[in-house]
Amino acid sequence: MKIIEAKSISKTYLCGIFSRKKVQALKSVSLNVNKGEIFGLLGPNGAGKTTFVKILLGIVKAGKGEASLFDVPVSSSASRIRVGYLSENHRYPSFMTAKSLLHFMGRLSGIEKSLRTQRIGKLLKDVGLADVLDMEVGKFSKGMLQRLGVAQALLSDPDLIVLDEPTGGVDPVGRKEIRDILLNLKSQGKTMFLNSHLLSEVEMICDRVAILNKGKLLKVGSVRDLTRHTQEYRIELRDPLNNYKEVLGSKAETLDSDNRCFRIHIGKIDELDKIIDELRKMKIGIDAVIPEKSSLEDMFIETLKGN
Amino acid sequence: MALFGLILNTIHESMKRKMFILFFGFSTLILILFLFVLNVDIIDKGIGTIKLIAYNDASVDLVQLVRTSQAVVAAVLFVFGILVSTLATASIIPGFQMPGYIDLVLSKPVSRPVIILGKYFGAVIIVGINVFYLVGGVWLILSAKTGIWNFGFLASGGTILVTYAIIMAVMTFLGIFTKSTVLSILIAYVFLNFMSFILVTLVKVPNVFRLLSPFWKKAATALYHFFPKLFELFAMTGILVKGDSVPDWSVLWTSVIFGVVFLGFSMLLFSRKDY
Ligand SMILES: Nc1ncnc2c1ncn2[C@@H]1O[C@H](COP(=O)(O)OP(=O)(O)OP(=O)(O)O)[C@@H](O)[C@H]1O
Ligand SMILES: [Mg+2]
Repeated sequence: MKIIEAKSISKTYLCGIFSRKKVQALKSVSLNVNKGEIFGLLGPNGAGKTTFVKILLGIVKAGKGEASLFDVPVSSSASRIRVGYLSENHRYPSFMTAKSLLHFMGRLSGIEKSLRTQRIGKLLKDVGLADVLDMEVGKFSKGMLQRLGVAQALLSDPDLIVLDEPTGGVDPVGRKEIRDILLNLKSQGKTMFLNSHLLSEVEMICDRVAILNKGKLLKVGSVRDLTRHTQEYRIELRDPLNNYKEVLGSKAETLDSDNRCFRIHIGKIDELDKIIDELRKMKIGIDAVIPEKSSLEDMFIETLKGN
Repeated sequence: MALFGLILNTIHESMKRKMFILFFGFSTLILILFLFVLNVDIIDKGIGTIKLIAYNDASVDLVQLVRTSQAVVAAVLFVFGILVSTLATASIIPGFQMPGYIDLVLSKPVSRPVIILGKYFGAVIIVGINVFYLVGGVWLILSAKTGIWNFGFLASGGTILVTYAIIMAVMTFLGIFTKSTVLSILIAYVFLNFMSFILVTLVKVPNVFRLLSPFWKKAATALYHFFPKLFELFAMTGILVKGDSVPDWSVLWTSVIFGVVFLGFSMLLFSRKDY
């Protein structure tokens, strides 16, 4: 079963007086997310990330295409039973307290009172809001609101958690805490979908990512596949190698002064094997052979430039 | 459970409004007045003397007394109670669609028509509680003091609540359509009252109706049947209190149909909207 399945989703917003202006937010986007994955949707501002997520949750209606969660079409409210969502700029009516808000949200999710009370107590403790459960949310700081948002998303013990910029406006310590909560959820086998432009963060926790720009899906793949340059390796030797161009190829470059660390370029993977055989024949110790990766950020910028 | 949660949440929200606190305080004051200031000595069945604090008055017709006091309460409640309730609940629907909050509510496994019904009935219930607190309280006190149990007065609480419910149905539609509290009040309260006044004058005052051309006679009659008849509902409230028989119940049910249709439109519109 696919947890998220989207087939050629398009969306055009009509805005302005009498709907005369058209904004095409998504152009035929298809995407699947499997069970237990942490999936990251990346893209610059205005790419259509929020629109995509809103279509998955039935908040915005797709113009064309079909989407389903847990094999249930998103037009049915039943598709959202096992879903937790944290929206981008989530806000709450200021008359509510953390506790009354969570009880309200819990009722909407159909959680029985005793279970609700028990979960709310635990969640507020987990996100560090146990001391302010009776404070009006109008008095909350941005970080506190974000924690409340996370608690609200996890209240129904969802199997799919959709987060739109989950660490927006949170300080580094809070970000780490949220990241830890997400990794903990992953270890429980939950599936997660997150929108972000904090690439280093995505790199740390996502299994697969997709890059969206101007409503078009440009790339989908695992973080490792997307960031690996298959032709570049870094080799670290225990002994110096002075005639390195002969052994490692003419494109090899030395990375330190005593000729023990090199970057090599190869055409096919068996060329790497040959180089290692040669080095071993020369009795040169090998400390490490590391495939060179560009950061997700480099890949992201390159992909957008190429488009 | 979701519907119950939405209703509870709306009541909870309304209870924090100053308007409702004022309404409740005013009602309590009137109840206290009836409870302590008015002293009745029943002499015979239906005849008694009343004392307002210290002044001893002559014997009066108690039925007359009870009906008159209740008619005054009902009239005040119809005019000011509905106005205050309308003002106090006008922002429920626009406020509920706050970006960043409505998204979260819509992401829950609840269908959109249920969400609108929850908000709507939440508002009607909180107004109903306020109306029947005053009507029920006055009714109990006067009945207990005089032995005259006028059920027509309780029924007048019903017409007051129904009138509010019709206005709220239109406000719900406008709140979704325009997301504006001010426009909701202007159209649902000011415009509907205005139309009701104009149309009842055109159609129900023979001397005015006679002046209309055949086309306008038809048009005015059609519009009269379409729009809710707020002025006649006011009159009907008085008739119920007095215990007279209601001449034309169609005033009530055609108005109710108008409200139900708008509530239906609200659910339809809300189901189609992007947030
Ligand atoms: N309700 C709306 N009405 C009209 N246009 C909209 C609406 N919501 C979004 N858009 C437009 O659709 C495009 C995509 O917006 P969206 O919010 O999905 O982008 P995003 O990738 O989430 O951006 P960000 O990173 O800034 O959150 C933008 O051009 C935006 O202006
Ligand atoms: Mg966004």
